[in-house]
Amino acid sequence: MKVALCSSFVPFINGGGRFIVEWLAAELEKHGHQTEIIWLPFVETPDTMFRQMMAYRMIDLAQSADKLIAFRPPAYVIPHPNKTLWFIHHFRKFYDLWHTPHRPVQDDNRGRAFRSRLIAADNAAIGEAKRVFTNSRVVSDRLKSFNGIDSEVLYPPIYRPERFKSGAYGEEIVCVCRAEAHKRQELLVEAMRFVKSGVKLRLCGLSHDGKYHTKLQKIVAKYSLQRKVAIEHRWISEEEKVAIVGGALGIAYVPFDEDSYGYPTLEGALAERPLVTTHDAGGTLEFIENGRNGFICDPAPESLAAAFDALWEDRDSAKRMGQAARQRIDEMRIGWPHVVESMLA
Amino acid sequence: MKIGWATPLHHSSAIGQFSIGVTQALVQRGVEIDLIRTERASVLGEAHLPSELKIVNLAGMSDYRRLREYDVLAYNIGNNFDFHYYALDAAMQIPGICIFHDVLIFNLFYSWMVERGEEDRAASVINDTYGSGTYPPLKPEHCHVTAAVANYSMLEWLAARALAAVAHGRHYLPRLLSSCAGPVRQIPLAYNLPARIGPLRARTSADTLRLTTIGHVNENKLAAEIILALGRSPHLRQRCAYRLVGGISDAMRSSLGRLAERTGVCLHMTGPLTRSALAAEIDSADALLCLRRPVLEGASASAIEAMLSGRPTIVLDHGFYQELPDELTLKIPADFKPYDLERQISWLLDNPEPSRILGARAALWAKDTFSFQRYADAFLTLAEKALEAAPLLRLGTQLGQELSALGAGPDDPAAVRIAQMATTLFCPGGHLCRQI
Amino acid sequence: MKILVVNNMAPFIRGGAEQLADHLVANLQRTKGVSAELLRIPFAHDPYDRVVEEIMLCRMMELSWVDRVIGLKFPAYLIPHEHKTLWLLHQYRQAYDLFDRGHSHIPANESGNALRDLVRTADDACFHAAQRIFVNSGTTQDRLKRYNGFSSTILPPPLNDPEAFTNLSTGDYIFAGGRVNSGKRQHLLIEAMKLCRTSVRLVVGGPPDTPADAARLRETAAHAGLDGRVILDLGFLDREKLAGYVGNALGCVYLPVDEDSIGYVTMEAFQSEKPVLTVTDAGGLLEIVHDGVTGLVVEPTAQALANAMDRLFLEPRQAEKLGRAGRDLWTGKHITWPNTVERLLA
Repeated sequence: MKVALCSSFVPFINGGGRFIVEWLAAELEKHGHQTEIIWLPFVETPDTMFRQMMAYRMIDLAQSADKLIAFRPPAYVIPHPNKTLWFIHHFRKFYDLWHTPHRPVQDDNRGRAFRSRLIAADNAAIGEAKRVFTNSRVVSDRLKSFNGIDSEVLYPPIYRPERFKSGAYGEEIVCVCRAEAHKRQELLVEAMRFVKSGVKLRLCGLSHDGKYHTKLQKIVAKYSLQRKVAIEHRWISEEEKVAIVGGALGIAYVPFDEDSYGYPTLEGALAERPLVTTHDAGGTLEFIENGRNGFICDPAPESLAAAFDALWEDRDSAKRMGQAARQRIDEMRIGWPHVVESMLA
Repeated sequence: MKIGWATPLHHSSAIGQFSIGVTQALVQRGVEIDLIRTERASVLGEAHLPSELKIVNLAGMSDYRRLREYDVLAYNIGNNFDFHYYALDAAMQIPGICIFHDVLIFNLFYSWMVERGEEDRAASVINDTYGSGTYPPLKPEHCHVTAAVANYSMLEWLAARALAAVAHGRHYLPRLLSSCAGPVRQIPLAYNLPARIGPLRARTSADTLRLTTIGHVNENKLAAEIILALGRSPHLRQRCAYRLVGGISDAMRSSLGRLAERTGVCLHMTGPLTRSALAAEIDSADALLCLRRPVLEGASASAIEAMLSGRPTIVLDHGFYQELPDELTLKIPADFKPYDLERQISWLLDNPEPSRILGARAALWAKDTFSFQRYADAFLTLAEKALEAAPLLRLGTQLGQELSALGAGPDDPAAVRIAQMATTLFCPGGHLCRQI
Repeated sequence: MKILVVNNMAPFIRGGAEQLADHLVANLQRTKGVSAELLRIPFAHDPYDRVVEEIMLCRMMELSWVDRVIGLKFPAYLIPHEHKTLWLLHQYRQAYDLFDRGHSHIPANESGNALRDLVRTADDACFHAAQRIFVNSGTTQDRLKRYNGFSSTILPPPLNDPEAFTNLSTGDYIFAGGRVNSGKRQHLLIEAMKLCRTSVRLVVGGPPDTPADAARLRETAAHAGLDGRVILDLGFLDREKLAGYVGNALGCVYLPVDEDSIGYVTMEAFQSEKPVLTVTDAGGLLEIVHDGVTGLVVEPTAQALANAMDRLFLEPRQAEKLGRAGRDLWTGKHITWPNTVERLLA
């Protein structure tokens, strides 16, 4: 089958949003399908959004592709008789972020009229799809409440999950992700002030402008945490990541209110590591069950410190939780075979 | 909602009078509103109507970007170039709700093109709008104003560029519906008497009947035809006095004067009057003649004034006047035969009391129908619909611009396909842009 | 500087233009201070009147965060950007020379004329706004001048991987590389092989445009009954295999009809010190293939081609000499990626 995978992008701004498309294409190729990835530009400015959406609408993939899988908005407005969505997010500023300062137009008659037309267009275009999948329960709920559209959650796996192996349960709590304010690595660093055991923390990841990294380092310096906290401010290779995660004591991932559980959660679970998160982290809560495969803490250093200490004190329990995390992947049917089957069903 | 109300406020502008009344009613509804004057600089200095609202002049404004601060712009459009030049100029750049006071806006359009130094292009704009060969007209009879109204009034041209459109009568509503992509609504013109006017005098069948026509005296008020009709009947000639109340050219004054002398009709021509003098004229009239041919205005302020005054009103049965209730006016078939006028006037002469009752009933009806309160309510509903439709209209405009930059007109098959595509995506069911 | 290369995309089909775009991006990325990405906008050729939507959609797309655009193909190059360099591989010939010759899928009637005008209007506006216009060949340059009135600079696409092509040995076969279709006249080579008097062999290696093209050629070869002297390797060849075919050949042959440019087949041959055999109506490659100097140029007939192939077979030292001259002429033009990128960014 010839499958076109289409998503929007902003040239030169590389986001994690590209992986899911590229990985799915690779998996479909493995299953003998021909794929074509189509990245189209989109600028989210109210003045021209509609005409850009019309540009997408005019694209003809029906002649060349047997199937269209659409990802980021507004890729799904491309018409196709056999269209499936893997819906990652809305134009959030016009949806769940409308009542926040992120709203790009006034909440007046004019702005509301614009919003209602956008929602009408989304409803029409998403409504044409044969199947609608999302990446998380949160996004499915939003599709239901804003658009009245039912969808299935299809959790995104990571590429070649078999790379992750379970090693010894070491001394470090590990967090591998971009160093950004909304990922809240500062909570983890602050937690190290309060740990009572010999547990250590390792942060790996780049911050886009270096500011957040500087902030983290200041906290380390302020509380003299140099011996307990290692910060690697760089993009680590996949091989390094496999090694670091596979030998960790546990994996921490404490973003603020994200839609999906995030790749760090999944990588930790694949390596049979116990997972630490906070109850305001959003998508991680779909995966992590407190006490069974990790800890769901208060978003406070003391609470996180207690979880770190608990993992240090009881390695057997840490190991059991890590194994439960691995099982959780299967329970949630997170894996490429299930994704490929769903996408082509 | 913040509205910019673009209008002339010149003391002699009936549209200005209307605007003062409507904006007051809108303010009472909690709307924030500024008056935006649209006269050319040459008449801006003359006396203007008073208002407590903030007044902005478009004349001399370097660009119209500041108009974007309004949620809605209402452009009052009339054919008087000096009064409405900037309304057209701004409406072409920042689309808004066009309120069409006149059915013919050819003069406004043409003078605007001349002013912009684009006189050469005027014919091609007209022919693009109404079909090639429309302008300049080949046959002399097509140069007449009646032909202009029918063939190239330019209503459609401006309506096509409006976010929404208002007609004041049903007689030209279809023309706006067929040309404006946004919502279109008929709202009866709102108008007030110039001042309090007393009840119609009690008249005996022996009294002279005072007949009056209000408004600038020009060809389409049929003054000559009326004088001839009065003159051909000895009965009417003796019993009636006819007054023409409003500005008049010297040529018209002398030709009508000679005609009245020749036919023995008692005629008085006042020349231009103040509002209070006008009120006095209405007050002393026994009946008002509102005969217009052709119909150039969407609704007649003078006919509304006449009805509001409680004076029986005689109209020609076409255009806006046809839409007035038969039982509340005295109608003459639109082809105007002198004896039709004679019959109606004779009835007035012979029936003072029924005439008074007819006038009183008409006044009640007119007060209710042509009210500023009703106008304001209807306008606000339209404004909301226009706001709702605005994003799509903007998209339509952008798509149209792209297509025309490629040389594809609105009838190009691709344009039709693309319009259909936009409608099914953003407006499934296409309910937004219909008449409301 | 962030440079976006813009090309169109026929989904699921990859050809020379796609490879050129990929190499352009890769070579831009190697340039100091430049980051480059590729944007491919899907293009559907049929039905013919879709071209309006194709143009519209490109004109209605929007870019942010991009300092420069390098546009390669119609209609993708219409995407708006204030700093646009065009490197035209060809125009939408359906609305230009093919239309005039009655070979376009756009009908020659009133609506067809309107579409042709529409394409030209869109092109003219884009060419007018472009900072610079480069073209791949003299043919493209002439058409651009004739139809749109715009001057341009010739910037031939370089060979993408010159280091892969070397002279390995002087073999006993003529290699015919490139896309396989009737326009490239591989069937004429098989006819010629029937007329050869020597035991020279022919290897045809390249991707057929359609399965029908492959089948037709196979059938022609089978009928010719040349027992092993013609080898058909039809399909996409990886670069290593291709370089092997070229590097061990006696010479290379390429018979396009009125081609726009030198073409990769010629570049690969000369890079590998192989003489090129071609015909008098081949077009752009005659700029560099000179009879008796860098190769052989003969009438487009089976007999003339057979004579030429026999000659190469009988005089291998002469063939090597032509090949060396070809290499010198080609490399002397300094058509390399670093030079190309430098000119594009100048």
